[in-house]
Amino acid sequence: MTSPLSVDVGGVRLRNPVLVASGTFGAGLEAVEQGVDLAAIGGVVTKSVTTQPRAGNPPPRICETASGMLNSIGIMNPGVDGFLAEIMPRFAALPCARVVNVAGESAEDFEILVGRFDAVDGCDAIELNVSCPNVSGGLDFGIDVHLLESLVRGCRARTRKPLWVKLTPNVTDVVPLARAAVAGGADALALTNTFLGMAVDWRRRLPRLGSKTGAGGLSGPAIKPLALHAVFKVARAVDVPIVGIGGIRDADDAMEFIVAGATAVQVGTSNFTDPAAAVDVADQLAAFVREGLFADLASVRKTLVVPRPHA
Amino acid sequence: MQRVKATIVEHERVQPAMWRMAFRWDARARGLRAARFLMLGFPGKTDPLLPRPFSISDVRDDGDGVVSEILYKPMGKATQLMTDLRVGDAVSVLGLLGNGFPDPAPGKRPVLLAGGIGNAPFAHHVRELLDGPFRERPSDVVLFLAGRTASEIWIQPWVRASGITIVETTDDGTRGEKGRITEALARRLPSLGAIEGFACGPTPMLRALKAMAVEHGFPCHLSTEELMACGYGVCNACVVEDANRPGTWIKSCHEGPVFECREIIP
Ligand SMILES: Cc1cc2nc3c(=O)[nH]c(=O)nc-3n(C[C@H](O)[C@H](O)[C@H](O)COP(=O)(O)OP(=O)(O)OC[C@H]3O[C@@H](n4cnc5c(N)ncnc54)[C@H](O)[C@@H]3O)c2cc1C
Ligand SMILES: Cc1cc2nc3c(=O)[nH]c(=O)nc-3n(C[C@H](O)[C@H](O)[C@H](O)COP(=O)(O)O)c2cc1C
Ligand code: FES
Repeated sequence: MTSPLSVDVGGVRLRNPVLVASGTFGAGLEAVEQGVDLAAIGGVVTKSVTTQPRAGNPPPRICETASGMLNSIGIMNPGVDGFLAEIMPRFAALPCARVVNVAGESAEDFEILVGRFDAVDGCDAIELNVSCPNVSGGLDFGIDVHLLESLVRGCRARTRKPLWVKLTPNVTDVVPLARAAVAGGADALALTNTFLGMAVDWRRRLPRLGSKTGAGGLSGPAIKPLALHAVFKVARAVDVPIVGIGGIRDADDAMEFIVAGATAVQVGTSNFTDPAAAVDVADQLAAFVREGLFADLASVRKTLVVPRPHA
Repeated sequence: MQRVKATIVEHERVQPAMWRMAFRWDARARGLRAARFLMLGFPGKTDPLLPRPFSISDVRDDGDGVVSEILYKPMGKATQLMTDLRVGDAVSVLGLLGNGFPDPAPGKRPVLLAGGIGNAPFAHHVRELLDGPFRERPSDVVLFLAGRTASEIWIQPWVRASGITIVETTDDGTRGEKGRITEALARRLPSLGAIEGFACGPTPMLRALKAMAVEHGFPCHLSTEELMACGYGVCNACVVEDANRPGTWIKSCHEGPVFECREIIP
């Protein structure tokens, strides 16, 4: 018997649809230190891993905004060798699905990274971050349909593991990009990453973030309506499973993404308020089932109806 | 829920821009050490969205159980909202987090250096020292309290009565010695013997103390204050520069917030 909350995301079986988003949970090890039971969630997506170690941007790296936050972390990570040596053994031991997110500055970087993790036990899926606004060059893949399709195709050839592509919302219309990623061989799509934005200290005539451009990525409750709309549109355009991301704080938020067409969701910024935020969302979903709000996720997924006017 | 709710039992303004809040929450049971901190959150609110870090200032048993205390300065959105909270209201707390000040090395005289709201961790620090190696010789512990002006100087009354040595300085001379904390420390260095510094305060003060510690060859632990989103090591916001590998960064919430001054570039 399958449980009412279990889902399959492009070949990855999850006990429930709640994952944690890249860059907002390390590799899960710090939450374990805080006593969080990761057997209660569907999976952990790692901070983006790059070919070389990255120091990240100078501080300030975050700025709280109305119901959201901007970040310009700059993909601080130990690089693939450091990750495999220092983090992977403990990450592989987590009691939930283990998704490694990779980011490159060139197609070759991406292919190298995918090839490295293809060989690693304890990596259940690979998520391509083609969207992080912080790495020069990285943005281009996520906003150009041809580049994106060939990037995904190149990565597809390097792995038989489930391949997820995480899209950027910083485009006029995300649907053609979603189609391109699927054409390239993506098993699932994750959306969205952060929205490019800026915060300003007008008195000092300075941006509030320390990045080179002064800009950063907006996340949190402020972006939920934007992300939800993106998921809704993409779910109507492609057939692969979608992982909805953006401002999710509770099970109601998660269900909004699911009825809009998502198979699973990722909790990001909410992890900063509570290391057990994703556990709480998963527990609340189980309570919804117990209360009889729905029998299983398949019965509610993509059931959102937009009534026609005057119908 | 890793966060817990704690009921406020005392909340008062102790200076024009300094508040003391005590809540029923047992910091001792969570590995208390001076300069460890908690993340105080605002559940249900999206603005402020992120929790804010505060050092544990003092902990005691009030007969009904353990009460933990923070000192804070209203700075912006979150700390302004906090001033509206009343006794009986609940705060949401995650912690304890971070490493805290290490024990002073045997034979060293602990010199505690507080700038402004950097006084927060020192009441408990004094308690640790007086419950431990300095029980018989409290006056060997020296606490510098520095502020821009008189109203920035405050410490719990029991600390003043504890027999430790307290030196006060203000930039404008409205209380204690006029001038900077580093000047007051420099005047006393010859008579203090072998010291070990423990500092908390604004970054320029930490920078100046590092320069002094390096010049005079004494160890000095700095409690850093960086912008934090998570407080437990997952967001990479709170970084300080690694002195051993300039241009690379260390997470202050997880590896700190206390660093020996030679480890970082404050
Ligand atoms: C480990 C640690 C322990 C701390 N302990 C205490 C404490 O015991 N008592 C106390 O009053 N404060 C303490 N702080 C600082 C406190 O967390 C901030 O003052 C608070 O987050 C401000 O929130 P806000 O919403 O009121 O201000 P915001 O609206 O967020 O900011 C107001 C202004 O203050 C600046 N600011 C905010 N946070 C910091 C910071 N960490 N360092 C320097 N400038 C900052 C902002 O840039 C802005 O200009 C500590 C910080 C850290 C990292
Ligand atoms: C501090 C921070 C760091 C992030 N780092 C990454 C990253 O390294 N790679 C990535 O693909 N997404 C990264 N993200 C984006 C999140 O995974 C997520 O897509 C986004 O924050 C939206 O979800 P949320 O509103 O729930 O936070 C980061 C987000 C934040 C807030
Ligand atoms: S505050 Fe998030 S890593 Fe330190």
